[in-house]
Amino acid sequence: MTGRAGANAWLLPVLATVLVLAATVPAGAEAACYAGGDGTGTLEFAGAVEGRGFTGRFGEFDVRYCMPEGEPESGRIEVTVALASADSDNRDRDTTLKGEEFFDVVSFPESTWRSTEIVRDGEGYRAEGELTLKGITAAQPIRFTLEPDGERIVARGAFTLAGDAEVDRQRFDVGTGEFADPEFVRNRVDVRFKVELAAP
Amino acid sequence: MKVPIRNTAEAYGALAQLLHWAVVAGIALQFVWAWRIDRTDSIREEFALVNQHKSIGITVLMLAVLRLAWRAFNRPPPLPAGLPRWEHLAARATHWLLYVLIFAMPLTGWAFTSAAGYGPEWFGWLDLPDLVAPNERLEEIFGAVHEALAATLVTVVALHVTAALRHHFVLRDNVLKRMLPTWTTSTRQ
Repeated sequence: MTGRAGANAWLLPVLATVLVLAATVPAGAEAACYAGGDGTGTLEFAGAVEGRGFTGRFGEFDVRYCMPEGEPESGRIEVTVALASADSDNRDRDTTLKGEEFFDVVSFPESTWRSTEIVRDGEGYRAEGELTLKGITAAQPIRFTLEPDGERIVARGAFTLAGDAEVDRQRFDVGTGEFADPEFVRNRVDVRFKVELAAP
Repeated sequence: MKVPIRNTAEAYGALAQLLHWAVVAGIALQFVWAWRIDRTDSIREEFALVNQHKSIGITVLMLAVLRLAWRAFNRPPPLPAGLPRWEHLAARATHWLLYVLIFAMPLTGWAFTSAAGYGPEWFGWLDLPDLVAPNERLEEIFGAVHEALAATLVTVVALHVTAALRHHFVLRDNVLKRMLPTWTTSTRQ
């Protein structure tokens, strides 16, 4: 019997360690990162020149939304956009957009947006964040909805992030020289996105 | 002076003349604008000039439609009797070639701007549909055709003007005058 008691005494601390480890990392609060991008959605921009609207889209972008399971408000969103992928179905405009006076893609190939705070806003959310564009970082809020939302995200392992933002291009030096005049190129650029994000 | 709206046996009527000279003015403006577009260093100015060029072009197209419609109900006065047959044929060919070009210039321009991804417009009041979807290959083709037709138009207009001046100063007939608002004098010839 002494041999069996000795075996039990050896097992006890191992069992205790396993239990403590399990308690410190509860499965429900584990952060999951959902990812998507140009292959799973669209990122569009709409501006106006001489009062005439135009729309374009970014062909290359990545979105990551990391959140404790089922808690979007406690999560963080990160978006990276390849500016040279801008396409507005107009060669002249796209060349100008990528040039020094607008995105200057040679010096600043990427733009990023990172959330700093996500709060409930009616049916959806509002996120405060920082947009870095052309080497300038400034506050840039966005609005979005999640479908499915909350705990149902966990069940499906994927969700659709859709929303919009109003960007003031002048804060980021986008459109300089003769393009700076808002009577020529409107300051407000509407950004719309809809992208499916899935757990890896 | 009695102003005939319809063509008479000797001269074009007021409406046919008005449409002819309005198209002349439109085409002249189009060449001046094309030249200004080539010359400007400002994208903003170029943008404005191109929009005006499109608006004038669409105006010329509308006038051309009116001209042909009016012409169908109001036949042109006959050419002077006694002209050689080749001159009749040359006049007919030149006139029809001009009509074809007056339609082809705005239509290829319209297709050019559509293929380039700009919507055609008319003085900011009227948005016109795209003739073709944006496509860089088509943009190049329609751009080249539009320019080639412009060069052709200059040549044919030069021929048309030379012929009119020849009629007036060499043959001394009323062919040029019948397109001028001088009905009282020309109808007496």
